[in-house]
Amino acid sequence: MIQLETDHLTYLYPGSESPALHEVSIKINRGEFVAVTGANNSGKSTLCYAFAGVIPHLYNGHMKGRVLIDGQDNKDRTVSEIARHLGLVLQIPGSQMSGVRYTVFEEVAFGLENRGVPREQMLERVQTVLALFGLEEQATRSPFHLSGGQQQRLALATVLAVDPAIIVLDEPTTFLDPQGAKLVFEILRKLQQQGKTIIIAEQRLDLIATYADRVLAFDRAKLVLDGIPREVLTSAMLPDLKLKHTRYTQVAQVLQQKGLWPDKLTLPASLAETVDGLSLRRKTHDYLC
Amino acid sequence: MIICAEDLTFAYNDSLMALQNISFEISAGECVALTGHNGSGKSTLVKHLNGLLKPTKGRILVANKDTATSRTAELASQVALLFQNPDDQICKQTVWDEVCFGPQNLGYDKKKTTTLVQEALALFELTSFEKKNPHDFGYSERKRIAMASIVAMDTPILVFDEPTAGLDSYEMSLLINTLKKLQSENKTVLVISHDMDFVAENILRAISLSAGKKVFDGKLRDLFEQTDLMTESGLLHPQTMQLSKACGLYSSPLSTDECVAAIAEQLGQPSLPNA
Amino acid sequence: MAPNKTTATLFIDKDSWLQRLHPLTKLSYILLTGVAAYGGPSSLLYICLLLFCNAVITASGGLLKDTAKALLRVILPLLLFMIPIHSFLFPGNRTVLLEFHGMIVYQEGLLFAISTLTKLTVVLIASFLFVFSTHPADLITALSHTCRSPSLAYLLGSPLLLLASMRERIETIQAAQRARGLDVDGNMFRRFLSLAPLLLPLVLGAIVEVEQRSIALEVRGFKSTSIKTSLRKLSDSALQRFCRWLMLAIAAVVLLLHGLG
Repeated sequence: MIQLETDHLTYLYPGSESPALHEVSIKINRGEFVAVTGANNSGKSTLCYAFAGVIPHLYNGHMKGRVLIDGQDNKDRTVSEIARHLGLVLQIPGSQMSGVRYTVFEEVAFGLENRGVPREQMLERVQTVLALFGLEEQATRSPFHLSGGQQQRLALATVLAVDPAIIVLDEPTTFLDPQGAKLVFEILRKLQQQGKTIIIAEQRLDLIATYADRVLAFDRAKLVLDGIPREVLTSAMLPDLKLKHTRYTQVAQVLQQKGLWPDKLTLPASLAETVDGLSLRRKTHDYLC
Repeated sequence: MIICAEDLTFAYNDSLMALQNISFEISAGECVALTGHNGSGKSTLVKHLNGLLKPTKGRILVANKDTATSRTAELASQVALLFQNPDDQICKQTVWDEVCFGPQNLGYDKKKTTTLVQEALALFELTSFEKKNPHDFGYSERKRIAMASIVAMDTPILVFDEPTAGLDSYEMSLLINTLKKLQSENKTVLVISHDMDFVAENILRAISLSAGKKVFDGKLRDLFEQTDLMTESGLLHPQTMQLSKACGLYSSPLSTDECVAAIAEQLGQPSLPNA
Repeated sequence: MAPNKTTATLFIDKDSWLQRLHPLTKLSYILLTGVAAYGGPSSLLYICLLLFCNAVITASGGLLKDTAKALLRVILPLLLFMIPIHSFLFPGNRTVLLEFHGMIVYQEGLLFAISTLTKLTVVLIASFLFVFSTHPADLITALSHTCRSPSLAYLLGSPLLLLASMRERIETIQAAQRARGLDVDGNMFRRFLSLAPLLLPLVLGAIVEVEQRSIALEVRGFKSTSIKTSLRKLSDSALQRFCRWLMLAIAAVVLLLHGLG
């Protein structure tokens, strides 16, 4: 069932001559885990903004085409109405903080207050979300005094507290250490299992390969590749998009040239796919011997 | 020893111990990765190299000068430091002026400044942008401008704080080429990075911090072989090592070439019957 | 890791009836005190009465010591400055009170200085009472409940928190420029010159931050016009609401009388 859709979406930022998105049509189903990748300035962030209605509601640029959530055009709803269905996590966690709440606990409650959630329910919800993100011990600290990783988890917690069906994240792992980045993806996987739709702009292809169901690759405002990670991330076009194959793909490529990769098996993008391919090769090879 | 830290301890406003009893030595021409989890004290440590922070206890010597008693403006001719966020640094209206800022502050003459700036711009493929405003560009271009303006200072020591964050793979290759060039000029380079694939392929030595303490100093390969230390430092193994481990190999390949060789060797070995 | 500064707040965490009072009640009280001190009768006795009332209220809330300390810091320099000046030079000086080596202390000037300072003291006590007994978060909550426009409430409330993060940013920018050899020590002229490279990153950074934050606030439903709830419970009562209106009404009447008189 289609939940989120862009229909021939083109967008120009005010004062810009070249479009940030050009004729982009995507259909996303409920419960999908979609990664959006591409070089810097290829249109990833703009797409995230378009999903959340930030474009065109908060920028005066020029927009053509439509963005639909559950069949409803984003143009007909305000940004806060859209936010009930779709939560947006920004790249820099610090600027996501409200600036008017003194503690982590209050910061998480902020979005619930704005939606008129009754206090008792609010307390319960905040506690649940803080526990999910391992932030209970930080509850009484100032949101501005957390480490980068904690702040990014807090940003995610504030969005999740209001329980949107779709979660859109704009490169949330840029400033995180490797384990912190992996943790974000682990949390997202859990959310997907609970039925949420996840859309994440991301440049770490090894993480995408492991966690996403589908990858959209952008190049200079256009959607150029759309498919399962194994297909998109091993595409020969990747270097043209200024993206680098994962080391897994690179290793398998060389092995393939040496005749050490199973015939007819496509190249892998993730660790698991590589290990599977190698054990298949071992089995067939042993059999032949 | 061009950098020498002795029992370096630092606390922000008395309470929070940011660095505890850190000692290490770095000789001229070395390239060292500084790793650790978010908030482990990496950025705090490098701010001691040019006297932006003064140790609470212990001392740090840079080119035999105690940084506690030297002024930052003087130390800047020894140590150039790239800040994480390029927007904390960019303060001029054109890319050219921005990259000139450091060399001019250091009092280089016009000819030397021009040569250095041209070289630095070329390294990061910014030459065609030189008359444009840095703020007309996206984040990663601004990051390149910030890196160029550090390299243009032509200091014997360069410190990069998270240079790879936000760069795409092409921009990454520009950075790698720059590091190689700096190495060939016998500059001492310190790189703070979370990108283990990048570090594994380009740097040999690592110093790792965890919660303000030094937990490792040695060959990068040895760090990767201590899994509990990796976990403590918030790190993950580079992909090549994750693959070799998952394949049950005992080697620790740091590059794709090493990894391919190890796997090929394993596959080439005829397996024993009944195995 | 960034220096772990605590946010600048003067709030004193005590449990007294003053602390529990609704922030707007206390704000109305400051207004009434101000109007009463400056718009009421100018007799010194009346002002001293106001001073006494305020002191009693402060003491009953257990804030007498802190208020006195803060007050001394503000009033003492003024006292040392104003009393001699007015005693010697007040334009309405007629009655000689003291003569000392050719220096004449006049009664009118002295009285004027004392009454001005006492009025100021009265208003200051009420203000200190407010900042010491009100948590800024409560003030923000109260404002956003009262203000029809969330943006206005935000404008009034956010500087309390964002100024601290702004200060941290200034320090970082300064450090980044010093790392590139910018000399910020030395003489005044040099220091002045060194300000320029700080300004551009600061201003541009602030613009970007405002843009990002306004997006974040928008997607978090801040400008939603539907009914909002609040995590912080502000105790309010019919009595307090009545008192607020009463105080405002009295203040209006005093002002009106003052205007007519």
